[in-house]
Amino acid sequence: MNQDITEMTAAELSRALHRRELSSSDAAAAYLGRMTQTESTIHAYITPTARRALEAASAADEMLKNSGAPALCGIPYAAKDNLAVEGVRMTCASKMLADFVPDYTAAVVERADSAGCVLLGKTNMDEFAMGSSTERSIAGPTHNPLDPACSAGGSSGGSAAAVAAREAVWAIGSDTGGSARQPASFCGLVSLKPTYGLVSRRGMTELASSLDCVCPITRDVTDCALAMNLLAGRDPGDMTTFDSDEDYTLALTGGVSGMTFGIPRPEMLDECESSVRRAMNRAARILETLGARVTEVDLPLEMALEIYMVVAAAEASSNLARFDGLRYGLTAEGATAADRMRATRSAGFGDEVKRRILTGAYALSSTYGGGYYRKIKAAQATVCRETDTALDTVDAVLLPTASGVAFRLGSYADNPTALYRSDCFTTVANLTGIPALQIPGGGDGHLPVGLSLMGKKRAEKTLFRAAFALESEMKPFVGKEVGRDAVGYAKPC
Amino acid sequence: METNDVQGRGEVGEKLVSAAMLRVDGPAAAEISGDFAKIRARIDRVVQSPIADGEPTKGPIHTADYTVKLPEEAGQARADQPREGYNPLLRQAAKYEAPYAAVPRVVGDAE
Amino acid sequence: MPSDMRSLAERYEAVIGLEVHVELKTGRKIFCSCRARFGDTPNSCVCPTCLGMPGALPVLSDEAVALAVKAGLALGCRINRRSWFDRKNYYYPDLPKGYQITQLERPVCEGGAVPIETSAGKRSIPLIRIHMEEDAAKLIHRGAETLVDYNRAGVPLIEIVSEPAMRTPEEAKAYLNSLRRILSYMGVSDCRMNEGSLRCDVNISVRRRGDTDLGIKCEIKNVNSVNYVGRALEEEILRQTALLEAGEEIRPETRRFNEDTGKTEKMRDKEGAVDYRYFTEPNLPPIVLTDEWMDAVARSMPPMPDEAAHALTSEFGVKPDNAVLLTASVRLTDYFTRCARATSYPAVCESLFVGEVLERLDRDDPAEYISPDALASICALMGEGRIVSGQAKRLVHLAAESGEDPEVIAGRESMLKISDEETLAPLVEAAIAASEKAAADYRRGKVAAIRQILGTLMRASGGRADPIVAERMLAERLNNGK
Repeated sequence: MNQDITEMTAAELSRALHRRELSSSDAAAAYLGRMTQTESTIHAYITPTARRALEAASAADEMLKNSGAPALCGIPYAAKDNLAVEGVRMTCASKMLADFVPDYTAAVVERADSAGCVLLGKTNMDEFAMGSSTERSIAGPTHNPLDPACSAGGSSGGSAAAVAAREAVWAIGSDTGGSARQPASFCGLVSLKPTYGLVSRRGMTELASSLDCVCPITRDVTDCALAMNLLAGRDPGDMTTFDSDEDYTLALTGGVSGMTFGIPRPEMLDECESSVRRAMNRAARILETLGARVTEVDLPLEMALEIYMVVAAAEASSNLARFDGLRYGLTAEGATAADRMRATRSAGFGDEVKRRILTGAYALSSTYGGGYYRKIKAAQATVCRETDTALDTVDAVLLPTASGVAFRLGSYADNPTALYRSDCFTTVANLTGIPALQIPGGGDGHLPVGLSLMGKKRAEKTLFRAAFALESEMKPFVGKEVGRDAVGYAKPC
Repeated sequence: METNDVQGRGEVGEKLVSAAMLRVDGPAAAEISGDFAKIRARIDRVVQSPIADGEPTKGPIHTADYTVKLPEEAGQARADQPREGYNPLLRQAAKYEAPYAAVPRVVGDAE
Repeated sequence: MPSDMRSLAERYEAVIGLEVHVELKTGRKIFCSCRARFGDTPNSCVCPTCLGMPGALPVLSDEAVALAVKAGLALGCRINRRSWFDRKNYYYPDLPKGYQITQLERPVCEGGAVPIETSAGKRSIPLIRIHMEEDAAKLIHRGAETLVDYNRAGVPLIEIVSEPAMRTPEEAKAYLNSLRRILSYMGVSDCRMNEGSLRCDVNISVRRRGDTDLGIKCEIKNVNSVNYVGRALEEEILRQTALLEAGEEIRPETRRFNEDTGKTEKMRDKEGAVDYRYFTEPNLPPIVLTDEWMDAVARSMPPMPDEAAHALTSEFGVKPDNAVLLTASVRLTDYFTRCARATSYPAVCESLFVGEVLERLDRDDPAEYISPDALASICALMGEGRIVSGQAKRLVHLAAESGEDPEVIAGRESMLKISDEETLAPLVEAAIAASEKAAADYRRGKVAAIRQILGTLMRASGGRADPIVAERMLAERLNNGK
């Protein structure tokens, strides 16, 4: 092969593996080798699992001897460190779980394992997935492979950086308010936040249970469809999941002719960097050129962001109550049980986690909040209705994923809550449970800009179809503007 | 008048930190308490907005109803056999006195 | 009761409401498949879900819902066809997740009533609601440490909340006994207070008779026998009445009943109580009960225990007291019914079953001690007058233990009645000879003295002599010998 294995997309590598032109062991070795070169700069992983990877690769090579091996069999991937893998440390980037080893495995990793996927390691993240920069981690920050001085985004920054730095073919992240789409945007990658319930959350450390989604982060739209074929479907162990047996790769072609796309009114983009507005305008023109209709729609983005912040904090304050130092994880000294809990939680959680726990406790409190929670829930229902109404008139909505390109690491150190605003285009999807697909949409010279397609619940196929059409048309622009030859083919460092 | 201070000066802040089983002190306390005031203002903005006047969803928001199954079609796994001795999960407890997990003295009664 | 107390009782009345937690008899936990059974080795039935490990999710047991609905149907509740779960957040070492999954906003059952009978007659105690929830772990306090057994964490519970509609400790006890009888008969729960499968919190306030407003209430937590509930209430009524009479205020408190002193003690103030920060549980979908499901659950329910008892009385003439004993569980009622149907002598069957068989059974889950056919043949021996009652009782156990035909045993062991005069004649002679004074009394006209001589004869025969024949022979012999 002339092409470096680590430059291949999952679809390309899959073809090579199934034709036995390459072995999974070759691929695993190439990726582990790549990790040794780049990890010191990028720091995408918290816990590499080299031995497990080599074992899985040789098992995959056995599977590949038979016809009918799954599409992603033998392909190396990475998983965010909030996904449990039996026998592998799961830190959630927190001091609280620095030494925690689960004896159970997340549903998505089970699926990947049984399909013969090769887990390279557990990726870096913001502590308990609270953050948008992957700076708040016990393992230190992850650096953007396209510019190591910049953030890879967050909280799934490690997963995105691993894929962009060619330290994994694809990766699993999680998205509670944009945590997979924004890093994919910052790193020039594709990520789907699926409809709530399409992918099992079992074994994923919960942040906000009603908003959390497990998401693939991939090099292109085709890989994303392949990954969704693997991840999607009902899990009896997660009662919020539903049946799905779609082949998303069949939804890619077909084009957008005759479809209608919503775009936000121009003033909604006032806060965006010019590269973002440019990318939006260009994508809208491309859609029209391809025969689609583009129309302005109103989405309750502002309110969604505010409500999101409260719901996410409320559920997080409850989900993180289990970390009390009594059964597992960090244990601090205390003369009484309550003392131990308090000491453990004070020592084990970082400031951002504490801030959100307090916000959540406040919102839920009947004493101080005075029925806030019911009001917030009512407001959320209103946002859902308004979003449904907006989506009724269109096939999908096109939005920026983030208001700008990757920011420099440390930019928000003095003003942590300002970073919450960076979720302003993404949280509406989590709050309303709808799918959102991030694709690269351009660049500002060296860093990529991300665009998102959002649709009604269970409209993934529509999004894939539109994303694939856009991706095909935009690849040359994106490559040129980010200084790369094609989407997702990062040539970093 | 309530205060948003969680530094320990205000009763609300103190109770909140206590209810969340936390201690917040040092430089972080000032930072968090400052942010907290902003956050509260944002919560208020939602709560006082007309969009919060409607009816909340009855039950969890994104989850389809579950139709409870008849015993014969539930097909649920029968009770697991207990594992021998104690469960290895509990070995991670800071103090383990098989077959019990030991915690420091419990003071006061919850519930 | 001293007279000053009596006058207090005339001026004050208690208002009592009970919150009863009942463990559902599903055999497994409500949100995972771990076994749930009393007496397992501590911490042997645990998994990531019931230990609250990160990422572990709950999966609802359909069977737990069915039992909760059975409880609701048995108590005449409205069943909510759509209900959901909420989270109750508080920190305590018995709560692995830091929250309990329960039902606050929309419980599975609302309304309903528990029928009770006291010295004042029959009445119904209305219920507010029945909701499902998970049990917490069990804490064992030991000096400076507390030991935790997570086997109990996640055991399915229903909480049955009554209206504050009871007025006396007697009513509260009758309520608990009635609830236990109904729920155990329906197979909803073992309802064993000593094993913790039924636990009771008592809410009690006292007010002047005629007042319509409720007084300040205290809650007595976790009283673990029906008698203790009665005693705790009596104590608490006295304490609160005395305070009111002295012009003092009742403070809202959580109290406990000290079984050693028989007094209630303060645990903590209720004011400034824990804020549970409830919200909708996001990990469990709303649960929906279809007509078909409701029908199937209703069809699978036995009649109410009172109806079953009434049926025993009307079909077999069982005495009302015995009918209650025989309707402790469906399996017990079935067993007795099979025995009673196998015999033409149901009254004999009732007396042997209640007197001899019942004590050998686990009333909640009886194994067959003696086969209905074997018991029937003993009933026949007795009904036909071929065996005396004492021997019949012995024969029940011999037949039960050996499995042999009772007639064969009775013949071999010489247990049948002695009725022929030839065999009885020497016994008659010997009894009269041994009872000179009684014989003389009889002959002087004190006819009752013959009972004493008959007693001597019966003892000498090992209880087997037919008392009617023997008495006639004694009389003839004594009259002839005059």
